[in-house]
Amino acid sequence: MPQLLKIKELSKWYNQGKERYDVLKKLDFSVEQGSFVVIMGKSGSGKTTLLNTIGLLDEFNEGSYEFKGQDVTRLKEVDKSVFRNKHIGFIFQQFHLIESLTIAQNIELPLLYHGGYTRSKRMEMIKKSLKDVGLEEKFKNYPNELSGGQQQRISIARALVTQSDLILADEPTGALDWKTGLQIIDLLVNLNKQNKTIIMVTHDEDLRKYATHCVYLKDGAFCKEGEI
Amino acid sequence: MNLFELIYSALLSLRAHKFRVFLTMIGIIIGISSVVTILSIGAGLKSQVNQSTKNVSVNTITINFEAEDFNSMEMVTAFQYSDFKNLQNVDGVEKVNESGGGLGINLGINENAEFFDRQTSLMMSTYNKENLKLIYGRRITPEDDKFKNYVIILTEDHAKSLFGTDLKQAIGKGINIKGEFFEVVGIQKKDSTGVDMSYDYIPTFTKTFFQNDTQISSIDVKIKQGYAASDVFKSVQKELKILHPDLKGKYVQADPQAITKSIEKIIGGLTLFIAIVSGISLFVGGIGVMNIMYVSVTERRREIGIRRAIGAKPNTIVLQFLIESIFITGIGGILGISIGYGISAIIGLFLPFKPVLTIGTLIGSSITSISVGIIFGIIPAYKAGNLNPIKAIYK
Repeated sequence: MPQLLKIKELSKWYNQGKERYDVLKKLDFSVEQGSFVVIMGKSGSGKTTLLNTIGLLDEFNEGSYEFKGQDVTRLKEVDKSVFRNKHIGFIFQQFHLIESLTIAQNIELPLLYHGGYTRSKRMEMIKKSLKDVGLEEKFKNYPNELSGGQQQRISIARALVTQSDLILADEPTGALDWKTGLQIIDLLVNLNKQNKTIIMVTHDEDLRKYATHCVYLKDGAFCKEGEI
Repeated sequence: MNLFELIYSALLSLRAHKFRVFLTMIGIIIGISSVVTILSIGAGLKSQVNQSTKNVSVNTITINFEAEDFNSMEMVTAFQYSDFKNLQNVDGVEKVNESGGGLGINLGINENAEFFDRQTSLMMSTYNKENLKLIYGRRITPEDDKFKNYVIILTEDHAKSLFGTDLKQAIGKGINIKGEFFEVVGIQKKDSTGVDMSYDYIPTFTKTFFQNDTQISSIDVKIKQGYAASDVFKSVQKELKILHPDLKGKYVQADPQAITKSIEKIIGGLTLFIAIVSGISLFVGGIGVMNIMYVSVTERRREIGIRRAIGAKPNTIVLQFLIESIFITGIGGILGISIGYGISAIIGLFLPFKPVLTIGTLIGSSITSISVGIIFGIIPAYKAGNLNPIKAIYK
């Protein structure tokens, strides 16, 4: 499978007074298109920071980053926004839907930021995304009228709507009960079967079995399975 | 994201906080409506003054005397009734009169009037105003001159001084002026300002009776058709210099428009002053908008972070918040203009003139309200656009 992204010797740290705190330490990492990568590790190991760095939501201090063969190491803020809109779909633990907007309007936002779609085309794309997550009937509802599981499905629909290359899921089942969490994982597995690349951060060992690849992080560095 | 999509997105956010948006608007509504009210009343007053100037005849020039020494008596001896005959023979002059009425300057005839033990000082003029408004009685007619009727129309204040508050009973009574009894035939209504600035009017034939008391400060020269006012003025000026060779000073042409302009200037200055004071409330309203926009940015930090995560550019966020701010002040402005005009119209019911909402006020207020939105919204909007997405989402 062709390579989707490649990071080389990626490091991130922050300074507090004279002390330097390393968050990510010289990470080498690549992901092939169509793979389902799970990043595992304990709290504070740097999983979410790595995920956000891959999504160009967070910055890094050293190293290089290639996405679909293009160097995206030092993009301007504006270009990062375009990059995220075009290539990345985020799924957060707390769903992060905008409460004041309806479900349709939440899903419509990435399309509005993308620009170039007519209203009818946007509506068509929103309906398709909602159908993909099985919630077509929730079009006009507001997020607070939905259960946690349903909100996470909407969050997935929002990530899917722009036909992004990569879905970054940060503990997508973390705020859900076991059964609902499994339904979300099923949904992600199905998307992966449709050749969607997924990188998921979790500390839940049980979810490892759904991944095509699994990496372990400890104190900002990759380690072997038994070492976390 | 194009402008329409940005506006659409901003409107969706505003709709979610309707009540807060309305509360924020109140400051702008009060500011704009006060300014519009003041400016409309000011414009109405100006228009009223202009209208009264238009009534001044265009083929009549008014001539004043400017003495070198303002304290001298030359001011009041510069024109004599005996001059009129000579001036009427000047080429281009149709008629010469002492100035009077409208914006003319006639010092009038100053004499005391007595009614039994009461007395008051009158300022009389022979000018018979066509549109004189009376509370009681009648106007002075040509018959009064023809039959040499010693009649007088008193001002309301003078009538009250002589007859008390029951003015109706003054009609037909005789008052003693300089040893002659004048029959009160009418009582004038105070003018629209409520200030009694008018003369007590007497028939023209009585001019000779008061000749020595008449002080003419200026004359009106009616020009024959086909003559240029400036040429006639020069000829009249020359003739007056011949008639009064010893006077130190010069005869000048009065410009009624100049008087109007000076009145307009005063009204304009007052309007501007009050508008500036009202503008302060607009400034306070603007601070309110800024405050709410700041609160909005702080409250919506996570939302801003999410928007950034899904592809909103920093400038898109800046524009969205700026559009929200402009919408608040813009709609506040529209409501303010409507309410302001409504208030001025209600106030107009109690005023002698109609307030006018000029295009200038309309455009100015609209631009001001939008500018307030931009000026007071830009800093919070800039702050929103430059939030770190990670900090905005997770902290």
